[in-house]
Amino acid sequence: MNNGEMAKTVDDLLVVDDLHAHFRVPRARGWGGDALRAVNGVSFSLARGATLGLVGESGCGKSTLGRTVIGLNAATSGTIKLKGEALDGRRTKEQRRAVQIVFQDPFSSLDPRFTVHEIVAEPLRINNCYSPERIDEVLESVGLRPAAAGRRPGDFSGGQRQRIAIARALALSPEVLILDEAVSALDMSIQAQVLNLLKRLQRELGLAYLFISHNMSVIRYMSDRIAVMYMGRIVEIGRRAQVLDRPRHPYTQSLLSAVPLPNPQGRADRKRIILQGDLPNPIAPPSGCVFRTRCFKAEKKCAEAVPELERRDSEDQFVACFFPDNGKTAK
Amino acid sequence: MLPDSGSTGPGSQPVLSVRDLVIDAVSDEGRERIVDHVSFDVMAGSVFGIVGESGSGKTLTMLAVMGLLPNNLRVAGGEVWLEGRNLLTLSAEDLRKIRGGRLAMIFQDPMTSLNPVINVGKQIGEIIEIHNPSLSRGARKDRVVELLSLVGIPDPGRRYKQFPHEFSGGMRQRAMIAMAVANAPTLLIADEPTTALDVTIQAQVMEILAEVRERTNTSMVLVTHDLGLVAESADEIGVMYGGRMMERASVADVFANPSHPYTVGLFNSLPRIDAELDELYSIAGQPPTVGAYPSGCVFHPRCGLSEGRPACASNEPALVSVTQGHLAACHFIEEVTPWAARVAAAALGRSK
Repeated sequence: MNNGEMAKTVDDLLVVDDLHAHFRVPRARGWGGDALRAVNGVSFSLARGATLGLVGESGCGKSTLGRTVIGLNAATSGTIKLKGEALDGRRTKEQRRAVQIVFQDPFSSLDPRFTVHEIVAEPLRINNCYSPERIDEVLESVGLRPAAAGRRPGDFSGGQRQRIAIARALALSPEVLILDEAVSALDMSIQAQVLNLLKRLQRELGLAYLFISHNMSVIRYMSDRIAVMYMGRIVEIGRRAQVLDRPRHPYTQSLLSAVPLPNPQGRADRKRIILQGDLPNPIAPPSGCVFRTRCFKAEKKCAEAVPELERRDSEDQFVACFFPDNGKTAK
Repeated sequence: MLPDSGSTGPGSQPVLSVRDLVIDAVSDEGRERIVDHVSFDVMAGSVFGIVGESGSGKTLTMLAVMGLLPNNLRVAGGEVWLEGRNLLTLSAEDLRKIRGGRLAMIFQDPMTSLNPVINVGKQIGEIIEIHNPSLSRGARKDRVVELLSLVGIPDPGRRYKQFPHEFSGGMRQRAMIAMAVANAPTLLIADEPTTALDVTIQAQVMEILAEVRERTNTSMVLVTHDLGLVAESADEIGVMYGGRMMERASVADVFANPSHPYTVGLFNSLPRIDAELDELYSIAGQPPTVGAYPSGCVFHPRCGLSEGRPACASNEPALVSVTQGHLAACHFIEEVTPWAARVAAAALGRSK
């Protein structure tokens, strides 16, 4: 059985199966290189109109996963299927149209010398479907006035620029939108505006989101299902309420307990799991379970074998751990 | 009723008192007011959190306290009292003796605040040498190793000789904490100390910081945009917007009864890990450009409570008491609580 065979359903819009993205990292001294397994056997599926939240800390491979799904990185092995059709290195225009991406930093992802009109027009021109009406329509849908079309990114604030980036991604009416830390660079009061906009667009257009973020609170607000990544692997995946209210993987539990709560009343009696140490070197990951070096539950078995992502009971919740929580004592 | 009553509890003494601090930007075109009449006290042994978005003036306020404002900015008024001395009137020489000694700072990015070509132990030792030149080299090294182990760095003897690039982000921030507490300061200013770190590492660093503060009995100003962080670490908070202090009170009071429309907006626009929200409240518009603040109340163009009432655009509201020790700057303070209840109910959902 492939890692997480059951974590996906075949009839979903986007189905990713045992995806690997490895890179060769040259050694500091001497010849040769080492393999960095940025994405190491990831499987999930995404239904039409739904959001899969992908959460993890820096370096866990969540952005590489997003970039591999859209084809910015080549997959080393594994399959990505959109509506049953495999997406590989050579994608048709139609396949590329269907999956679009919004990046984190709206200051570097927009060409400063283009006007807003040109930025949104570029994907339309490439696909021979340019029309000024379409540009006005998308700009309006993200809450920008048509007058904005003649100005350049430099005239806009961070939140407005992110709207432009969203408009560009929507121009070709995609079915899947990859949002890679799309609100992380925005100020608190602006973040809510963009999150609400994304939710409204999803309702209106039936978009499927792969929502990548390091922020658990934002993930909770946006997602229907949540996948937790650690060192290139999904360690837990399930419906939002299951993963957040009854986390079973020790990493999910510690990640959740580390989030500071905006509620001073409860701070005295919060039990916090403080993880020991830092992320291991991704070029020389630990044997067995990659989390075992920081895990409070690790035993001898964890160093010997890699735990598969498996269903833990009748519910739709999958955990890659030999000693998962039974879900009753957590939280 | 005093518009600016300082202490909150009997017997508690402020370590730092900032009174009506004003900061101007000076250029060839003239002067712009950046920070306007900001006041607050930090009580002995406690943590004061300053919350605000980028451009709210929170970092500049603390740089002014340290005497580290960039060249184009000037303190144009106010007082900063630390242990009976007004820091704003001290000579550069006297101020240098206080910085790194009685007053220490931790910055956001530990990679750019450490020297990459000097080993970590020597950098921490340097701070001790400057403020205590009579200490022998051996004693200094012992002290640094002791500090490294205080902040939970394993194998401090070996780590002493390592360079910043050999430390992970969390370790570097611990080294910065060790450096900050090296001369047993009375006040620690931590400006976004964990913003560059992952949540699990943030939890480690905040725990170490709390432990170190407790052992050395140090007070702290925590500057952050993270409401969760202040809720967990601070005793009192000040909410800044557009270079002004909008609300100031104990952490419990601000979270239980936010009394400024901006604070209410901020709380309800935040996705919550501990609640299922249907739709976030969103504060309309953009924060003002630094220096080019609106007339009257700086928040009025975005305010959900003002609804264009003329008083908001014409007069700047003063900080007044809502309850004992709870201050807010709003013309319609008595309307804030019922409005806040409506905003919170809307966020919880149409679905319920």
